[in-house]
Amino acid sequence: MNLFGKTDVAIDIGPETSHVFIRGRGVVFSGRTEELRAASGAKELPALVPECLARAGIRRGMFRPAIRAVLTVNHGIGEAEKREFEDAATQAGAKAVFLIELPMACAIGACMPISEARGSMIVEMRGGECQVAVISLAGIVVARDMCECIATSAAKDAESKVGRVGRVPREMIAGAMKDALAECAAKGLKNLVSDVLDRGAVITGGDGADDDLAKWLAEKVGFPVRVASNPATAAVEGAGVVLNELDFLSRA
Amino acid sequence: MRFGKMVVMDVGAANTVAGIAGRGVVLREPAAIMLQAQTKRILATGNDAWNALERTPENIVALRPLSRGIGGCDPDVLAGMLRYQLTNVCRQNFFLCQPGVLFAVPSCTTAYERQMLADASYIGSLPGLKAGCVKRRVALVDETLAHAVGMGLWRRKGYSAALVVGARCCQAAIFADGELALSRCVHSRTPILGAGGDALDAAVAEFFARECGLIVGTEYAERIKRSVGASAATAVDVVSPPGCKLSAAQVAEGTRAAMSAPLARLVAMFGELLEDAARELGDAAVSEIASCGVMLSGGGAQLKGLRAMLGDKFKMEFALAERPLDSAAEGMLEMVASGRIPALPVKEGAK
Repeated sequence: MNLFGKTDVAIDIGPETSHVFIRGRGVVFSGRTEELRAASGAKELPALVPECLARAGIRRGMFRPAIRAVLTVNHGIGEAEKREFEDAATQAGAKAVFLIELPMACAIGACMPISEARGSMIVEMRGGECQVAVISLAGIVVARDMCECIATSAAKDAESKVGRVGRVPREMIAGAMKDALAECAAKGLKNLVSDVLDRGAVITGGDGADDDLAKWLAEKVGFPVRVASNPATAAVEGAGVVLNELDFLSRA
Repeated sequence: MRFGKMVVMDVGAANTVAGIAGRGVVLREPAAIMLQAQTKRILATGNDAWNALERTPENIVALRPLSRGIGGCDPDVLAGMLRYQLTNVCRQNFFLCQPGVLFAVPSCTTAYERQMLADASYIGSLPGLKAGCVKRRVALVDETLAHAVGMGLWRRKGYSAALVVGARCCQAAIFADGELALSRCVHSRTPILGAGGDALDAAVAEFFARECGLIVGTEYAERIKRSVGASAATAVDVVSPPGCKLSAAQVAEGTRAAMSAPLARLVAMFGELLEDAARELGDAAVSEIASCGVMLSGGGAQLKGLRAMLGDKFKMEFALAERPLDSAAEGMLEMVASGRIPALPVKEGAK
């Protein structure tokens, strides 16, 4: 640990697993979120930020480093929730906090060309959540979020078929992928649709590390689907890439 | 008109070609602009903006200002693009800070549209200057005439004809001793009802939507159009759109059938021009044109097999200009060099 230097840290707290990335060192902590909850006694995700920092070996103290943190958040969360994350990180000792939307972080982590004028589709699946997003010119054009669908009975029926509790049924994911493209077309962004049909989608997230699923989805939606090389840690690695741009971001 | 340098600009629906008098053509880029949605700050023009078309997230807008003609555009956006591209041109010559500008406009533009374009260009070429603070000398000339001059019809004795196929607007004109005698024009606010390159792209995209429910972006539609061409003899390595299950032969056949409607409008327009010529200039004029051939110009004229298709229909020789995209700008440069600028009337604007 450098006592007086800066520490740039990326934190990804997922519903199932959490990861911490430190600039220059890589992923330093990967663990189950349940353990973090048990250790800290907190329930909400923002409240787990201090525990994550502690697990990564960054402790509050007299000689604490100047921490700058990048946190991943779900797409489409409200301002209040964003503030909760920011406050939690600030209280844990971060001097500056930046939030990055999960699909964006995953796309960066999966080495997709997000800042180009090209459509990229990312499918993020973890802990019973699934987000489908189409990204172009460094912005999320269309996003489909399937967090709450587990609670619905329709999902429960499909769940038993998949055989694992808390997973978004694959039919639903395929539907969401088609839906996202249809929404792009409805907005008049037809080149994006063609880009995605041409280059396909990438799956990230712990639940998505399954080549059979990718193959099944590709057949169902009619365009190539592949699993990222680092599905579980793509989000935190993407946020880690953003750490390199922090000087630029904090100036803006 | 002899104060300082002149810049000529051919701003079309798809491409901007600009030149400096004495230097030749210096800028050739797509006529597209990318803006920040809220602040309207210009992010890019040209290729970067063209690639961003139909691909923008909500905070960015990418558009082609003239894709619906001068009358159908947002004057501020048009002015922004002209200023940006003019600045790019002026940057190439240190002494060129407030040049006069010569524009080419289709013969079918109304007086209102001409004034709108002139107003849009009454702005400083330096980004800091606000609209209206510099009175730029602007002149407009007929686009078909500019093309004809660029292709050398200016000096030809007797009758000659030119067919200009643009992205939005297709024009045909007959010249008598280098002077404009007759002209015809086909264009539409709705791309698919026109006859130019955009109409063909729209027809291709529409074919795939109808045939296999496939959404094809303009970029891919354009690529398919270029690979297929206008006549059956020309098809080699047909590009299939991503996600398409049709065979190459089916794609070629279907695309060509879809493109036949806009192309028929082009043929009809030229046919009407020839009828006009027979009525007003006499049959001798038509036979003279038929014997010496018709010059094809404009970006859309580069479509594979278009010459063969037109030649078949009219039993005439159609010759492609040397540089179809540049010929209007080259023609205007020649006009400036010769000092003979047949400027169209523009009412003095409020600015």
